[in-house]
Amino acid sequence: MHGGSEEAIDFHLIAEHTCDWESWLDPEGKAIWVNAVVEDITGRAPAECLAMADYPLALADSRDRPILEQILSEARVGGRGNDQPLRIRRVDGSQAWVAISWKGVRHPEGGLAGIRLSIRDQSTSRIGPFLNRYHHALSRLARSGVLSSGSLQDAFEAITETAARVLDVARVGIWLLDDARSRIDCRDMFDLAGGVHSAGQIVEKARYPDYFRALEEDRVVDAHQARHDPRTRELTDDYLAPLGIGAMLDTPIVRGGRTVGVLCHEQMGPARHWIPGEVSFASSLADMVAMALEASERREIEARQGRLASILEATPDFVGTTGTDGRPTYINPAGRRLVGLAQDESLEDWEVGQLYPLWAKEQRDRVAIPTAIREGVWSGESAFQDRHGVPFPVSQVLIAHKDEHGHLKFLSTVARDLRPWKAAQAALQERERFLATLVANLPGVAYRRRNEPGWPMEYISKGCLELTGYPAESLMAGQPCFNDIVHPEDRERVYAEVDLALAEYRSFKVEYRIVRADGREIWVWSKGRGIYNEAGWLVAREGFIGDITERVQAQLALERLNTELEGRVAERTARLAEANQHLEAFAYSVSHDLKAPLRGIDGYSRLLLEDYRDALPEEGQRFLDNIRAASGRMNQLIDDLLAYSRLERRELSSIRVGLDNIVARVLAEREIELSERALVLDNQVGDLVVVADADALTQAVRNLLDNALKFSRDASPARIAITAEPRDGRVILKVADNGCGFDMKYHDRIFDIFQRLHRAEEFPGTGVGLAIVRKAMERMGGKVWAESTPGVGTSFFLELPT
Amino acid sequence: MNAMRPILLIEDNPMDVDLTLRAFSKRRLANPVEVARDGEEAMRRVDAWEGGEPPPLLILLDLKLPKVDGMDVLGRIKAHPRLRSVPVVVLTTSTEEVDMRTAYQLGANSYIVKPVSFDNFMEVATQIELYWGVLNHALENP
Repeated sequence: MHGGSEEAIDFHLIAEHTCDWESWLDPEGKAIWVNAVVEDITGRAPAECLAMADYPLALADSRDRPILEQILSEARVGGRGNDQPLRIRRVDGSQAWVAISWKGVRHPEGGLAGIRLSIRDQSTSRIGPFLNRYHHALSRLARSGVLSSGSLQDAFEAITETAARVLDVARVGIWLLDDARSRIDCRDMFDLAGGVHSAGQIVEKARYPDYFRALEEDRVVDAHQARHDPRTRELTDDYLAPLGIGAMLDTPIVRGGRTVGVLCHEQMGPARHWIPGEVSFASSLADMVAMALEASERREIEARQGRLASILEATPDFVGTTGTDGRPTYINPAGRRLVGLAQDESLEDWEVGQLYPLWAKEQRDRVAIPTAIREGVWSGESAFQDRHGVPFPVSQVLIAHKDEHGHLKFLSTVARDLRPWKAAQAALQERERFLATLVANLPGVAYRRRNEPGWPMEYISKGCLELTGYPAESLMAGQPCFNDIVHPEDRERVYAEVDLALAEYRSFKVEYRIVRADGREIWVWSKGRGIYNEAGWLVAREGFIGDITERVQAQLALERLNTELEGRVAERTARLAEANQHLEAFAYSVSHDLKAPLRGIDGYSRLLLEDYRDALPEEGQRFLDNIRAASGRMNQLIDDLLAYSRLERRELSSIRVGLDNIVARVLAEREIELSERALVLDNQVGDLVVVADADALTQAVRNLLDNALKFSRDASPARIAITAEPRDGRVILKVADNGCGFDMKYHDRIFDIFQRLHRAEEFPGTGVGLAIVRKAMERMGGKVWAESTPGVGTSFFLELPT
Repeated sequence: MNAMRPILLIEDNPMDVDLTLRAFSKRRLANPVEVARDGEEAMRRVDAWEGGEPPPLLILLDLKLPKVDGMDVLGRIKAHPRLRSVPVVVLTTSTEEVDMRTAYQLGANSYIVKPVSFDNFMEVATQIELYWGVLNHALENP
């Protein structure tokens, strides 16, 4: 054992116990010591190696010999390096990949002591430190779950990024063969420098036959010098040169023993030696692509199966499968419900025979199953029975599932409960029968007319005989056509109204006359609508015709009556207006003509008294006085009547007037009489405003004051109180006296014209005063009433709007 | 002289004419009172005045007249430029507001409602006499 330095000795001690192939060379490069591992890797014993003239160069593959020479020359000047991939040749001629680390070991004083070579086997299962990176990368990728649970694109991107980063190549792409295997489509391409993904490129097999053959046969295309490699050479002009690609490592993506695509690593620059670790890493990534493809497909299938399962679970139909032994293997929830099985109930104790009533079981065994086996499927009406043996109709489909050899694997059946449909059918029939009965018993007729020229009567109910005098059959035969029995004067109007309604998709209702078979005219109403098909075309119209002759006649009579009535009302109104005019003329005449004779009576009796008094006895003079008093009363009566009539005819104003002003004016008018009488007057009317006609209100107040003065004549002292107060938005004026009063049972009569409660000699008057008050109040929207107690006094109230 | 200028009473009712004349005579009215008995006669007088005859000192006019209405007579007089100055006193039984308004609009100088009582009629005569007195005085001292 030669040892030039401490380090050499340390190295020796370590080398004895390492699993790497260790060599120690002298400064000239001659092997001094080689450990036993060399035999494990190369098949040559250490002694044999030491005897070699050009160890270790002789062991290197001729292609990598220049690399090793380079390493040795570096080491001779003290250089060092780690993990350089290198191919060596075994004694049996086979190739092995190794990773070589080297160091030129110096003496403490500076001179080269020797060269240490440490070579690790890369082709065996022993994992070197740089393989750990691959291992970590792969397990990280596997653990991320992106291959199986993410989208296919996510998986592709994760794989290409991992490949590019770990192998330190410029571009990594995933290309998949199309179904015809005539081209590869780039599904993802990662550019390491730009950090970007792209896709969509296509490479045609026809243009690059060598490359495609290599992909299919060689399985891994490790082109160190891609532009010169026979497998990839043809890509040079179109692909490699423009992109600057020098080396390619293409690992096949294999599924089910078949290449489906390629994971393509592209190295920029002149060349790159792909070492076995890299190739196997790349192959593992390609396997991951295949896994991702599989996972994606599986997910899709699972989703499809899930959808199918949920349809099966949700469908309201019975779905079940039966083994070849005739035992049920599956029944969906709806099916279980239908036959009365609990959802979790085992099917083991259940036989298909239980499902069918006897006749249906026979049909199934003799017809359905043989047909299904023969033709694949049988369908028809059958019956099931529930757990209590109650049968019910079903519509059934039976499918025979066979294996590739045509042997029956299992049967599946889909069945639909026909009870609801049968019930609906029965209900429909019942309704049809009901409608038919109804239509036959209606007092009118129901009809359907086809949309064809002349609207032929497709159907008309039996009632038409009673309505028209023609039997239904003859109208349906067009003898006569229904249009011809419509009254000629009504036809055009009826057609127009019906056509408009049909065009606007709404129902119509028309009234017209028809001429019966016996020639009698009757009135009918017809109500109906158009029947349209799915396309919106009018195919028919249906409706109902009823007899309304009585109603129309009553209506016509009523209209006649109304017209007459209107005429009568107009006539009466005119007569009333005329009477009013006459009344006005009469009132005018009264004032003019009736007073003229009065003037004569008064004038001549006055002249008689004046000029011939002495010639008359005393009694004659009294007679003349009576004549003059009578004419004076008559004059008063005429004046009052005129005032009343004028109040009725005159147009009144509605203005705001001060009630205190009105009362003050009336008191001023009666000032002399008030001052001459022993009378206590209490006027408490304050500043209240009412809406009234000032003259009419003055007249009313004046008449009430005169009334109070007159009837309190005998009281001593007489008291008259006038007060006013607002109440509920109106004003109440009260004129109270302590006069003789009256019995309240006469209350309403005192306001009637010419009604008097006292004899003329007791209290003079014309019986018009209170009638004027009531008329005035009525016309001003007010009210008058009185409260009285005989012997105590009377209060009159005026209620006025404000 | 002015004392001879007549007063024209246009009145159809003979009793009213008589009473009016008596009332005037009791008041010792000196002027002669001429009477027109209907609207047509009144219009003939107006024709004559328009033709140059001297008009009366004062006209007492009833409104409700046979043949031609008193309002028409009033309107004709008051529409004539020379006759317009002759005072017209409407003496009527109508207490209708519309009549009074129309009369004043046409140019009546006074509107008196005929009273039924003769005593009141005498009052009216006095008023007219006062009116006449003013007129006579004015004519005497132009």
